[in-house]
Amino acid sequence: MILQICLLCLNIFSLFSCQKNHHGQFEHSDLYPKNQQIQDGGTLVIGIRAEPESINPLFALSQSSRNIIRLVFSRLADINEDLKGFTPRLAKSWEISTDNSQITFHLRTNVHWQDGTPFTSKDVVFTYQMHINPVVAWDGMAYKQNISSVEAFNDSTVVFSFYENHRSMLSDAVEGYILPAHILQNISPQNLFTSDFNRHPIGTGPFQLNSWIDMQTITLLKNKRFYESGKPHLDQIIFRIIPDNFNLLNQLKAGEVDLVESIYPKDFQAIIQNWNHGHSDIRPISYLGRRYDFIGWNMIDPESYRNSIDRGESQDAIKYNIQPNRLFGSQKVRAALTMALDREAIMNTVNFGMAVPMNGPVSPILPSYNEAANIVWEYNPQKALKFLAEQGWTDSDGDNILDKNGIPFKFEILTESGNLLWEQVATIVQAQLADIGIQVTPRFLEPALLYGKLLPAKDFDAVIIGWSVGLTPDFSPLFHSSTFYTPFHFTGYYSREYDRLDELAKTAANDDMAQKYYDKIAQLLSNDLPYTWLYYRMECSAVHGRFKDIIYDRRGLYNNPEDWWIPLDERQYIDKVFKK
Amino acid sequence: MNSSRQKQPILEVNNLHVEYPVNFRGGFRRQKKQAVNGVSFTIFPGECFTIVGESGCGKSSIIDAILGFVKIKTGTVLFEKQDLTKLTPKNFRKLRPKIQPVFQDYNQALNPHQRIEDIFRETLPKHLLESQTDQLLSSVGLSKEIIRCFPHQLSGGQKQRVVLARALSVNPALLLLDEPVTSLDMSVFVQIVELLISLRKTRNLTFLLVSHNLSIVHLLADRVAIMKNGQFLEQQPLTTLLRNPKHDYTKNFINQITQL
Amino acid sequence: MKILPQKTQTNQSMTSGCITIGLVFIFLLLGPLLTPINHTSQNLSASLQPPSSSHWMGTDYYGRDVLARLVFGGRITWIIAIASTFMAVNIGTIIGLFSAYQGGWIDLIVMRLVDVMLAFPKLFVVLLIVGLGASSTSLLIWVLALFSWMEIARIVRSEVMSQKNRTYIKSVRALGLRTPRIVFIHILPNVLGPVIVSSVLLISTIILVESSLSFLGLGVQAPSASWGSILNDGRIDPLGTWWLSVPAGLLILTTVIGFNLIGNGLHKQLDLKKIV
Repeated sequence: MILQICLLCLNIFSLFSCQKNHHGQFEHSDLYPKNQQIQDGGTLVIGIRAEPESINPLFALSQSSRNIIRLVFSRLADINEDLKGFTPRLAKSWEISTDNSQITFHLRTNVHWQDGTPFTSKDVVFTYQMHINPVVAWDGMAYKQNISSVEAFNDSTVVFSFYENHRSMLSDAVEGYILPAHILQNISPQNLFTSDFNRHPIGTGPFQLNSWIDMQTITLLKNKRFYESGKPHLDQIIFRIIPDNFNLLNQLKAGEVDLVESIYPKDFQAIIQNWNHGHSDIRPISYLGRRYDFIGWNMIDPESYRNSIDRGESQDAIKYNIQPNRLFGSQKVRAALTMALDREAIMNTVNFGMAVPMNGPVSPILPSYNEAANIVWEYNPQKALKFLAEQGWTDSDGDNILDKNGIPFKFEILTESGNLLWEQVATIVQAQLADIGIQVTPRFLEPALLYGKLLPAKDFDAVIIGWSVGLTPDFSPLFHSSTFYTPFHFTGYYSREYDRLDELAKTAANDDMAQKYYDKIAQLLSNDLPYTWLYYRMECSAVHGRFKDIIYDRRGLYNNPEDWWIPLDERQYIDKVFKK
Repeated sequence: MNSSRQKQPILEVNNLHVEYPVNFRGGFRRQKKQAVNGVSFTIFPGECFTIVGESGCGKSSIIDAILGFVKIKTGTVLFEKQDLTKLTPKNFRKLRPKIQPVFQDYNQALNPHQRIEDIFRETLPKHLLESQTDQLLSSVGLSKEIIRCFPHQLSGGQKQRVVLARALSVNPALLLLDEPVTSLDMSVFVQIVELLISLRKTRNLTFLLVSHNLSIVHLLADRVAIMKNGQFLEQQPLTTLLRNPKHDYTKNFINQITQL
Repeated sequence: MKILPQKTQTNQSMTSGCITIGLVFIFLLLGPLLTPINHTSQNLSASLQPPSSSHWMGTDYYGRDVLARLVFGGRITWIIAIASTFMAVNIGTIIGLFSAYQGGWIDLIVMRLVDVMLAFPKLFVVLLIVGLGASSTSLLIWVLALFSWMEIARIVRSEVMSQKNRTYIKSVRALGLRTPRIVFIHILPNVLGPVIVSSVLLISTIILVESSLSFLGLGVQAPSASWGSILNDGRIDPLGTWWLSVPAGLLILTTVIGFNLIGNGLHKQLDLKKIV
């Protein structure tokens, strides 16, 4: 079976000519031969599992909403595949002032909103005001913290001023889609959440919303005013809402849906097989995405934390006076638990090979990723038992459960109910830890209940969940002491060394200096093990083979929707139905 | 006759009214049917007082009322000077053994899941169980071989004898006989009546007999009450009643036996 | 009404039911002889193998032997069903007995309560309770029992109503016996026939409810198994991993049909016209 999985992996890698470069990144090149004449027209049908909650960039959270927003709206600039440079979009160029305190953007002058109103610098200033408005509570507000002001110099020039010289200034400035000031300025921020705009968005992107039928379809049409001339090539993109996974895949096979994301790895295997043998026109697409899964250990004693808060101690006092967790307070115990798990087997079993190992905090898609910096705790139950014995955990009463001072090594591992992958991980963790004499009880909780236990209360033993990462390395919400009381920092990890390195990495003068600190952070965290990182997931998607020039990489699948096209001889009935 | 009248009455029923709910509709709307409508009588120790009437006239309701199985609307039932209608359930339960019924439907009078020996286990003290059971069975003319039997293995007459034995096991003072022999064969009928007569003598029992069958009345009764539509038409000693009936209804009744 | 049938006549329903349940019972009893493998031992390198000579019913996602899990899961399913039926029958019988024997307002209130509880869809309520609390086997047994006694109570009540005015009950009341003794020694044995029939039918209902709960992930917790949870394992790819769902589904089906056949057979045998 392992052999089979390995072969499959090989297939995948060779098929899409993925190469692992020295940073461990995956690169894809499947562009249509350049000598071909690109032909306009055609329809793309995208299957999604849930209805988008809103097509407003300020409020959208779900994947399907974000995808539609990418098609309807534009940013000032988009990040390049190297995650360092930027491609101009609404801004045609920019320059950084000599003292590194300002960035001046020169905007395109030929851009129109989809209702015909010209796009100007007013829209950029208005969008910034929305982004930092606490009533709106945009989820990317943190990106704008370092910006002191945004001013329009004239209709086509905008100046961003910054408090501090960070390397992330440009990416902070261009983060977020630009909103139409002429429509939204008439709506008060309080009413924005329920405004009509959320279902009838007006953007500057390559496609514009045509119709939205509840729980059925969302139809986007080509934006004829799009600022890049001759684009987009497709006439329309239809999102079809199909909640049932089985139906969704069948519709994909039947050709009623052209593109599906987040396919379950086992189903993805079948798609690969069919494509390899030429049985199907459905092209499998996989790339390292943004998601990783891990086990989080509670490093502090929940009761002492609760008591300390009940006593009304100051936040700093709490940080230093809280008792360590009776089980996971010790680094040796966390290391032992990590070594007791065959993480490679877990990864392959639950992902069917569609994942890569992860040993430290830096995700493999980032330029700052350096596998050599991580301390790797290989699967070694014997060594794990030795570590535990050193901490006083031995099976002294012969009941096959380790104990210390008469207390058995038992704990609960929480995960989200309904998340098949995590439930499977929990079941395997339970069995593997039972082998070294640790009794684990998996509990599958509803998301609201689960995150309620983790985030404010820190009332748990261990948890299996996953994060979705951004394109810049920033671990302070998870591990920095200043975020001890904020939601994401649920393990109670506290290290002065980490705090110091984090500051140094953020303010480093250049990338090479920063890399040095990121390596140290990786080393520190992979040694301290607030998390036991399990694996980094590959995204599994599938698209009909007639769509050409789809660039997909670690940034995702929707990098160049305006460039996607269908050769005339491969058009299907649905591509010809649409007439302008 | 005269001597018995001077004794203290064993049972005294005054102005008894009993009604039943009919058309029970969820417990909220009830219609009432008058079953017994102002009946008074007195029974003296050793006597056999008999109530005669057609079925549905309210005879059995009087027995149910004395046993406390139906709610009495007005009136009193005095047993040895105690008003049964005013007793607490606990005190009534203690008094119950003194008054024992024998019903007409002997097929339903015994728990189908109890062996004969178990029937007596309910009432007799453990250390005397075997000897007293034998004694009781022989006193009603049954052999002790039947004690391992279930009721359905016995004949009708045997069942009614077991019922009698069970009633006697608690040493009652008063037996309420509700058509005790009506559904038995003629030969068995006579045997049971003879048994009743002898038991009355040997055990010094008082009977309240309810029947529409005048042959048993003729053999057992001392005084007779004629009942119709929940009321007594007349109360007479048996000999007076036979010789000199007051009501036409009574006359019809008596004519029936003479024709037999 | 007699518990033990007096006449032994051919009763096809009874015979086929007994044979079906007997076969499943023998499978559960002797199953471990067929497969020496522990039902929780994982072998991640042998995950999702189709049936073979080493694993007669294949393996699941974790490389666990499906046959061993079917045997163990079946035992859990049966134990839960029989235990909660036993409890439900006890609760229902006691409530039904006293409600009917006491009569009057008590009876009225208890029976309206039964109506109210019957009005709730059982699976939904059980789902809610099990979903809120930490799910464990004993909790499952309790919850299933607490939402299954009502039918039994109704049947017992109607039987007691017909028994309590019979002469033999009047006679023993007149003897001065205490109420509990009358209820348990004299009334109870005479209402047991219909109770036995409906409790056999209840077993199959509870097996279905338990399987649905475990299928939804709320029943028996990992690494334990029940037929419902094994069925659930095969849900993602029903055609590709048929050896997970099909045998578990067939076993649930067979057991439910078997118990229903026995129930119908008993019903015929005891000649109970009142229920159904």
